Amino acid sequence: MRISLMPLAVLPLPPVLPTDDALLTRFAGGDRAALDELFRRYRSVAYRVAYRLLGREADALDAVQDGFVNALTHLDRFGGRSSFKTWLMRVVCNAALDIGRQRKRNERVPQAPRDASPDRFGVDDLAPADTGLVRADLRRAIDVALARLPDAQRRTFVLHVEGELTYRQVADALGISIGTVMSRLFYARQKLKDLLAAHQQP
Amino acid sequence: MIPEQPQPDPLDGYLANDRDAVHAARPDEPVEAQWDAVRRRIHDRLNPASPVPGSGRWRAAVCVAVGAALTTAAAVAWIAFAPAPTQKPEIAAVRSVPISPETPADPLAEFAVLPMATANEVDISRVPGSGWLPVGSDPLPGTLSLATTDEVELDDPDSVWSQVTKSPGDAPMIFAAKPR
Repeated sequence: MRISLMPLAVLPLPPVLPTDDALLTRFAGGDRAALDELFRRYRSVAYRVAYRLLGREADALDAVQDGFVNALTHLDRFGGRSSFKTWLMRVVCNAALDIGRQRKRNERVPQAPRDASPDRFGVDDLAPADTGLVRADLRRAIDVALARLPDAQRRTFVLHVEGELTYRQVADALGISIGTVMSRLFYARQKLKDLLAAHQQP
Repeated sequence: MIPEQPQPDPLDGYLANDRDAVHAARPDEPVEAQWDAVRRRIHDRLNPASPVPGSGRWRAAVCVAVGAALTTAAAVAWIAFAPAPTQKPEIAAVRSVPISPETPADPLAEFAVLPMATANEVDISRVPGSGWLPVGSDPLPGTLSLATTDEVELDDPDSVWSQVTKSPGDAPMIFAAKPR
């Protein structure tokens, strides 16, 4: 078998993305494009965290907006002690809590996804397991169950699962120890399991 | 015939942080127009419309000049028209307030301390009927030093104590005197 070797020089090199630190430096110098790049990079994960904490698209978008503004306004408090993502998730989390308090919504009302069929199930009356959970129902079941977690457990779980933060990063974002993160996740999973199992029972 | 594999429960997968299950359960993302609106509002809040260059600086200079002139005028008026004091106000004698004594110098500062116990290993019990209650800071905030290394002499162990050594890794032990 003959293998033709290609000179390395002609191989297309993957584009090198600027680091967050580089973007932050450029942003501090007034480069608006750097802000756009940071926004594109983290808007989705910030939105998912905010959405899981607030349950409404409009509120989650407000939290994303507040989170980016506050995170970039108070970069001096960030001080590079953690990654920018961890700092942003912390601020988005706080912004979501503020919005939740301001709008006095003690109980979350989950929003029907855009591609969902008209509401057929109440909050406590989700599709039984034998029909199989379609994607929209799955998301709604998770929304409802997450809304019933204690605040601290919900924040920890959401930052880890939706925010894709490691235990260490969650601990940094919430200002707690890794042990507390692990115990909160344990209890959150236990409770979510019970809640979701109850929803699946016919 | 290949037996059907049971489908993994998506909820279990979500709880276990299985990335595929988490991805499947993600909420719908906003459309690009919504993202763009959020991005523009962030820009607006971080970069409010900047004032015309120069005009703000000129206005600030005028404010500073006017403020300085007013301050000078007020100071001149005060000196010119303020009544002269007729008598010296009596200065009330300052009562001496007892202040806490300075922290005494550490008497063991020059010695290498042999730690015998920490504050967590010592229980302080109040003696009944003592008639006074100690107040103040924790008398045992750190290591309780019972003796310095200069005050302790280690002798070679008696040959009958075959398991007793003098090596520094051994924990110090205190034997209570046998009542006679």
